[in-house]
Amino acid sequence: MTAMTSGALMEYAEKRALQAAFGLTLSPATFTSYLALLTAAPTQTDGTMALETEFNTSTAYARVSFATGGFTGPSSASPSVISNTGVITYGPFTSAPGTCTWGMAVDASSGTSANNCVAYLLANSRTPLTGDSLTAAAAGFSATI
Amino acid sequence: MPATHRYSHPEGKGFGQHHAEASQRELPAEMRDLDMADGTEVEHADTDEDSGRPIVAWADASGNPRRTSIDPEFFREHFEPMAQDAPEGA
Repeated sequence: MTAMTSGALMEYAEKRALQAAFGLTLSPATFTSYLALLTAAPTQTDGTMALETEFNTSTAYARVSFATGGFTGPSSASPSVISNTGVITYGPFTSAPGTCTWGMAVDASSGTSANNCVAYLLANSRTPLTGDSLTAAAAGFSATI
Repeated sequence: MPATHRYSHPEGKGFGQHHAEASQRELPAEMRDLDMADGTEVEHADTDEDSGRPIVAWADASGNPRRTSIDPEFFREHFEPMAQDAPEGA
C-alpha cells in the first residue's frame, strides 16, 4: 500500500496525467472539480468516493467547487504547482458533522461514484458545531507534479 | 448566479443561527458573519445524488461562493420561489 501524502494524486488522476502527457483521449475531456471533506484517511488506490467516509449531507454539508474561486497555476516551473485561488467555505451545518481530517478533490458534486483525484491532509483537523461554517484559506490546497 | 429562491425566516434568523438555537447554542459572532442571512438569494443548483436533498448555491456576506444542502421540508418552508422574468411577448 502506498503511503498518502498531502496533495498526492490518486491513482485515477495519475492515469489521466499520463494520458494527457502522451496525447491520449481523455474522457471526460473536462470536468468541474469539487473538494470533499473526509473523516478518515484515504488509500492511494481508492478509485471512487464509495471507498471514503465523507461528511454526511444530512448536516447541510455539500461539496464545494474549486472552480468558483478559480485556480492559481499550474505554474511554469518544475515541479509545477496548482492551488485554490479563493477561500473555500462549508456550511452552515445544521448538526455537528464530526471531525474532518482529509480533503479530496473529486469530479462530481455529490454521490459515491465520483472519481478521487487528489488527496489533501488537513493541517489541523476540524470539528464544526451546529450552526458553524468551516473555512479553508486561499492557496490552502496545493498539488504538485 | 441566477437566483431561484430567497431564504426567509419568520423571526429574521440566519440559517445557521436557527439551527444553533434549536440546539440551545448561541452562534459566535465570527460564525454569524459566515451565516446565510435572512433574505439571502440562492440558486437551487443541484440535487444530492444519494440523499435527494436540494443543494443551493449562494454568496456569503464576504462574497464568497457557498454550497449548502438543505433538508427538503425546511427548504419548502423557508425558501420562497422567486418570480422569474417572463419572456418578452409572453
